Amino acid sequence: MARFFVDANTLVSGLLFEGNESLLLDLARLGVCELVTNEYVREEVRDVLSRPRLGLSGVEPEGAMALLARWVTIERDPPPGLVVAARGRLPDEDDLPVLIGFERSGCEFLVTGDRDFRERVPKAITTRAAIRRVFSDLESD
Amino acid sequence: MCAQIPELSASWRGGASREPRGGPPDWTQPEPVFDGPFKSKDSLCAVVESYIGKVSSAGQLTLPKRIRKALGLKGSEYVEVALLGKAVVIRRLREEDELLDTLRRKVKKSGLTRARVRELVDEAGRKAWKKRYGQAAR
Repeated sequence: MARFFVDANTLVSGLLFEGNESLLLDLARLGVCELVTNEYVREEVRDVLSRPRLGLSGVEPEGAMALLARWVTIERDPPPGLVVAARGRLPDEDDLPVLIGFERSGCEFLVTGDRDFRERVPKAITTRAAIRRVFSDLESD
Repeated sequence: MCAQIPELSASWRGGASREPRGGPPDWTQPEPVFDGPFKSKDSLCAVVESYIGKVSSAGQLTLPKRIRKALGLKGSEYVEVALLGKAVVIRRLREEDELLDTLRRKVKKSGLTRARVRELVDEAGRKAWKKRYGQAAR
């Protein structure tokens, strides 16, 4: 089964909008692929969902976080030493915990909507490419 | 991706003695028999418990009791039928689908675009970096 490391934008988009990202979450719910992320990404997602601008109320943000906990494997954050040592590999240092998290996770691919990321990390792919891989695996079984 | 299933009824057979492609199975027995899981070579069925069933000319089928129990289906309930390549996955419609619908409806109503949400994610990333790695990065 395909294992993908997913960034915060992929998860937030999957929760809040219909589209490729929600389809990828659905595939993970169905158990035909595994999504992995880390605490750092989870915190980013939680932060976005708690913004009043989204218009969510009461327990809805936490409810959404609970859904993620069911569908996505959450790994521990990479140690600070490793993250700091990776400085310079990406233009935005706040993306480093995602990159190092991916490399430590053993996942085949990192799914991200960030073009900068994809240009610098050969194993970083779009959500659409990830979905294609899942269906291709299903059809070749 | 969601689909509503009307009333379901048909026959199912499970058990290693039945071959999926070795000729038509015997459907003469009036009551469903569930001898155990059947292992198919097709797609997902190679790794999961599966049963051979018959779909009526009206497109109806009955889920085996064991499957209904595993899904937590009691009495009359809606399920979702998802087409995955050449396989079909049936799952119970859950409260989580309702929550997702609510989230998406509210966000749509708020007028937030994907691009704006991406900006919010970037802001959240900067905050998380500062909180978790800021000290080590100094």
